[in-house]
Amino acid sequence: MIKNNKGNALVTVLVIIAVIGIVAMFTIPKYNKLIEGEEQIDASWAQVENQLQRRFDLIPNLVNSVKGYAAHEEGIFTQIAKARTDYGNAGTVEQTATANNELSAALARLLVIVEKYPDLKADVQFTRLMDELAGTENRLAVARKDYNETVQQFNNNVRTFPGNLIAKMFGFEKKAYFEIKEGVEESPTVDFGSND
Amino acid sequence: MRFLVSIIVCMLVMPLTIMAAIPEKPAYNSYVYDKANVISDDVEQNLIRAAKALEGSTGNVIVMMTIDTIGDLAPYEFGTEVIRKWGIGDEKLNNGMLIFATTDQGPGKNDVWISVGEGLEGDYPDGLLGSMVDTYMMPYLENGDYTNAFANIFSTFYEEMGGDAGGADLVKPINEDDDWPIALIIFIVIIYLSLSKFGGGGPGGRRRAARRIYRAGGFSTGGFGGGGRSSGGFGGFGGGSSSGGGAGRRF
Repeated sequence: MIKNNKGNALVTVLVIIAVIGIVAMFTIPKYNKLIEGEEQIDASWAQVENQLQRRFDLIPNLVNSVKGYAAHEEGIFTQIAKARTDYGNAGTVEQTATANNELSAALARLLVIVEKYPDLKADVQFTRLMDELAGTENRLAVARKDYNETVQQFNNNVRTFPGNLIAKMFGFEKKAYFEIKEGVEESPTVDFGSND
Repeated sequence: MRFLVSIIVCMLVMPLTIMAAIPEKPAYNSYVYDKANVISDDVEQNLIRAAKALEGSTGNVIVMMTIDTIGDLAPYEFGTEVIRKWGIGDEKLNNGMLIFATTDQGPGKNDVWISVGEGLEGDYPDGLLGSMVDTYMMPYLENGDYTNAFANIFSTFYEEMGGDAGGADLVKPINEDDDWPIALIIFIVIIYLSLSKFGGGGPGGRRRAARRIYRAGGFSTGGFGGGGRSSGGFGGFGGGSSSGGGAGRRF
């Protein structure tokens, strides 16, 4: 009897170990995948922030060169300054996205204003700044697309079985997309032929 | 709400449809993809050899392309996607560059664009690339002269990056400070190009002859065997990427 009991206990322990082993076999790779996903999201978000920062740094130069030709257009300079401050204060992905939209709108307006000043458009320094700005907008679009793709993949993992169980167990949550406000051009279109 | 979400998801999946407009990755990197056939054949061969020499001596990979249209893509999207999909440049250094121009988007709507990998962004910020396009390409492109536009911009990069063709004079250096009239420069470039190595053979046989030389590795001065490139060797695509840098114009 005693021997039998011992045998049963052993079997039970083995079964438990086997179950744990099987669960672990399924859980660990998925868990690692989620961790990896989070890392990728962080990395691609850093890229977005890089480009936002780049734009942020570029703006004072741009504003100064426009001021040289159009000092009286004060409204737009105030709007840009405000958008820039908001961006500086933004903490979350959503806040950053909102501030970014604000900044995009202000820059788009600035570009419309610039149209009125042919001398400014012909300025070599200004042309370079505009190329830099356009390049930054493009990089931002690329970084945002990369970020959203990574988030999409991660969210799929978090929401589908069995990832959802593991995500719940370890507290992984869906990540926010970097969204563009509807109605606002995704970025100011910087476009000028060499003839103007 | 669900509908909205699905729309958003669709928009996020858009890149899949974008990919359709990107040319397939060629099996072998021949540096110049004159899909629209607007670059003269001799110049094309010179560009190929010089680009190969440039990769050999500096590691930088410059790919040039002419194409009828890039569809609905923004030039930066096209450039970035081609660099990524083809893997132009070294995987770690991201030192690839793509110069492309369209031919059939209508007057004033054609795009010329230079896309760079991150590794070249420091030396060639967008502002500089834009002004280089203005200086070296636009005067020709406005007259539909793709040949000289590509020859000029490439020569400039070749000089600046310190390309070393092992003594062979592959591209004509262009001196910015010269006050020569453009017509004279064009004339000289044309003379130079027609006197260059592939000059032999009739007009019909030229392309094939040049191809043969290229295939046979005609430019085997041996000066660039042990470059620090990691994989693939010359002519390969190294797996380079781009984060969207570059500049361009419409013409």
